[in-house]
Amino acid sequence: MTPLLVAGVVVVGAATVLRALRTPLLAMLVEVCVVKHRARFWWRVSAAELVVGTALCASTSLALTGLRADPWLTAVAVLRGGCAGLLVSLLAITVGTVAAGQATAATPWHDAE
Amino acid sequence: MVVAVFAGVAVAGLLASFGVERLLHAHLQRVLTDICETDARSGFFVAVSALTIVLSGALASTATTGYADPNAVGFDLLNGALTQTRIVMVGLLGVVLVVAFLLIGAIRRFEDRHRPFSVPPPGPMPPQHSQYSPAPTAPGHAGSTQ
Repeated sequence: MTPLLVAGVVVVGAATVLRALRTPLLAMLVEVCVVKHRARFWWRVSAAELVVGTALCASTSLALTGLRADPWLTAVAVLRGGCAGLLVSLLAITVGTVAAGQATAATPWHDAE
Repeated sequence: MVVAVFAGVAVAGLLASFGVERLLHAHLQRVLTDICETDARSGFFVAVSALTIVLSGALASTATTGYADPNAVGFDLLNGALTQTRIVMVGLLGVVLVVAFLLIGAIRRFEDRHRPFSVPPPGPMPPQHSQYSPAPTAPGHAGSTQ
């Protein structure tokens, strides 16, 4: 029961991170992509990446700990995996966005605007 | 007892990471607004920095390294709590240092890009005797007036 509760906490954490990131990331993506529908598409991709990456890290952490371990230890491991997954996903989104921004700035039409 | 102490230290660590983020937020926003040139970029990087600080604090708060014995009491329990607190502080210090170093790099790049004039690098000196400054002639030489 406790690991399931912690998995719920991880889901809430991922939703909170997405909520905190939505407005600034969407504004940055609109600046990078120029067209709004492209920015919305990449926002969806980023959100999916964050959710799936977090779930993957949490489940990997659960698998590494083992289901037969103490429930509290398992719960803490799931929590730790969720935090690590959120951090890694956030890093991946940031690196991708910065790289896209640099590529956009390097295009000749960007200077002409 | 161990679980209660662990949970208490974890919550304290999470609150500490929120406190660090609150402490840095306004200053970070001001610096990033200067560096990033647009509000969208500065807002994005402020949000990413804030989330990184809080998540790193949360990750460090869940370290169970210090609690070797699940039924620990007294000094062992205190030792476990202190180890957990230490890991929280190392995590927060590490993430603040990473943010600071990234910021220093960004400020240097920004200043290089927006320097008003560039001083030419010191190159080789021009030859001492060029066509504009002929070599001094010795007395009695063809070039002299005597």
